[in-house]
Amino acid sequence: MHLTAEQERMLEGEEGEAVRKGMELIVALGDIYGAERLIPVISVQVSGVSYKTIGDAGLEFIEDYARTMKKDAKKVRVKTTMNPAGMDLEKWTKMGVDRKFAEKQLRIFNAYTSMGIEPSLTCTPYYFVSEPKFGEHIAWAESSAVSYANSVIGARTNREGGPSALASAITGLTAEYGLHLEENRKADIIIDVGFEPDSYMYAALGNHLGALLSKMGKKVPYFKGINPGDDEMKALGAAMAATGSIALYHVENTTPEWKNAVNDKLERITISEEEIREHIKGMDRDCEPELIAIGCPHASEKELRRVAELVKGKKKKEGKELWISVSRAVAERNPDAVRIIEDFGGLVLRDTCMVVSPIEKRFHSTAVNSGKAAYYLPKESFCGQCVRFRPLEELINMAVEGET
Amino acid sequence: MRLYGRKISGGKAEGDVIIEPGAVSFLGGVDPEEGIIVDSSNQVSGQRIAGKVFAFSTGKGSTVGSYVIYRMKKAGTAPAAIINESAETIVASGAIISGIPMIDHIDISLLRNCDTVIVNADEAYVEMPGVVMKEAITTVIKKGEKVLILKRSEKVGSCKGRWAGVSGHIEEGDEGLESRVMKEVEEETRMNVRIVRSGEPILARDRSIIWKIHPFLAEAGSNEEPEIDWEHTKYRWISPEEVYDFNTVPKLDMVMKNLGIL
Repeated sequence: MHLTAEQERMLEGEEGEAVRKGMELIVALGDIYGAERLIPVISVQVSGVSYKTIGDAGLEFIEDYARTMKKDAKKVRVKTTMNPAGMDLEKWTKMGVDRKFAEKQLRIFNAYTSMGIEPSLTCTPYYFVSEPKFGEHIAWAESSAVSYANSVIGARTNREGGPSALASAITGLTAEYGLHLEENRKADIIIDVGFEPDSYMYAALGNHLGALLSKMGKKVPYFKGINPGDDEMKALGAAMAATGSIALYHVENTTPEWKNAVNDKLERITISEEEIREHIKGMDRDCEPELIAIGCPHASEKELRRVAELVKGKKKKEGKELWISVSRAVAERNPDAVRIIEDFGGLVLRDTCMVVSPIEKRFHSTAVNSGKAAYYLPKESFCGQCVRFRPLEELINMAVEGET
Repeated sequence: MRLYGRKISGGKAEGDVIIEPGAVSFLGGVDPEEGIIVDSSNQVSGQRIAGKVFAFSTGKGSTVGSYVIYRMKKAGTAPAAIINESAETIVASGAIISGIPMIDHIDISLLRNCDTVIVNADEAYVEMPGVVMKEAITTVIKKGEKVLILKRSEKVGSCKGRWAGVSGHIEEGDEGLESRVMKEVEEETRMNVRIVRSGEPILARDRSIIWKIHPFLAEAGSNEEPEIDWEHTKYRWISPEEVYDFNTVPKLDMVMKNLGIL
């Protein structure tokens, strides 16, 4: 790989140990994946924030790294945002999170903010916090945000891990390989969708397709015959990223790069509505949910307002919890919707979600409309939930007094 | 001798080798407090990797695995060095943030459990004291679409009873590899052949020797049949794809691949 004189100096440690370590990691990953050079990024999203997911191992690393940066008198070099934590930083007692967990979670949060990382705590930084533009190079972790940034916005990022994203934040650089290169952004399969899905069906479609494409060895699907809005694309992409590591997809007539994404030699498959209905049977288990959780990825303004509309003037059923997870930015811009939902008895949570908070300590069954959450929540070693996967309107009805 | 690979994470360390032929997940697959493999799908499940030179094919699983490696390093339960056939992001990141020497692009089938080796990641090699390299040729003779394999007798020094090409050590006084090829073909088969091409050399481990095998493809006339000597008990003409049906000497399939016939 070719490094500039300045990059060589950074790698030699002239800017301190934290930058040297970051460079070492980026250069090694670049070598592994055949990059020829490093390129600057305009923003970074770091993952590895929830204490539940990274545990004491991650906490130790992040605190050590923060100390090294402090010693070097360094902060992150580009705009850097962070993934959701394991709790709402203010409402954690209402969530049933214990004090020990909360203390360790705050240590992780403080270590990241001491590096100069913005306290965004969301998986949807593209809502008002950090919006990349078409063609811009970024280094984002968080698979659903990576999918959205690449596919819906047309920014360029690989699927970074916690350490590599942090390395990009500190150096402002990433290695040029994978989705940073035009030739790797072309579709490798065409998906004919034989019906017009609603938002629930988009989540199911993504959950089904991610696993299917991964088995077929496909990475970049191109959809025909659908007309999704931004919320539907968020749901579709998040689910495909969870079940199959899909980091980029194209939708004909909709996403910014669809025009040059296909050629006539590509393999084509058709997905029918029956196939998705059949797949839902495996996602939607037979159990009575204790928790109804919406907002994976974090709900948009439109989704938050829709929930408010559905619960307005109604009363929450005894023994049911309703959580809506959003970014701080979305909550702050919609105080009315937040008040309506909280008057109903629901919790509008910022900073966290049902997947990365320790819900298994309190609940056994959760109802969701997210194809990503429906993949992670049943995992025994992670959330251990019996999952109901139903459309939004049905979820709300489950929580409303007088509804069956 | 030294095996050269690619530097992933700098540094130098010495230790006994522990080999896992499969992929390793550090989150859930390793007990970081004890430094023991707990993934039952790994061959080395139940064994300690702390302080060892841990050689495995590649990493897999959750990206949190990088932090688990870091925790092991701080707890003193991490491997002294890591060798991979092909590095990926999780283990590479873990090795780098933890300062554990790591190299990849090493054929781990050339290592043996309990070999004591030195990993010099800065220079990208594994030093194997006590292991020596010797050179040999192996010749695949082709007749039409078929190739000749021979079953090694009980009298030969190594790989008794296994199927092979025409092989021999390179000896002092050999005037180039091709003259050795012609001598061995003459001794072992008495056939008239013409050398077509050679392939990239292949390394194979046999106790304390690593053989550097130079593959050759030779062609025999349609009427030629081998007359075998004491070194072999049988021969067969087979299609190259049939090589997988025979108990062959190590890497005979690789020899055929490097000769472009498989």
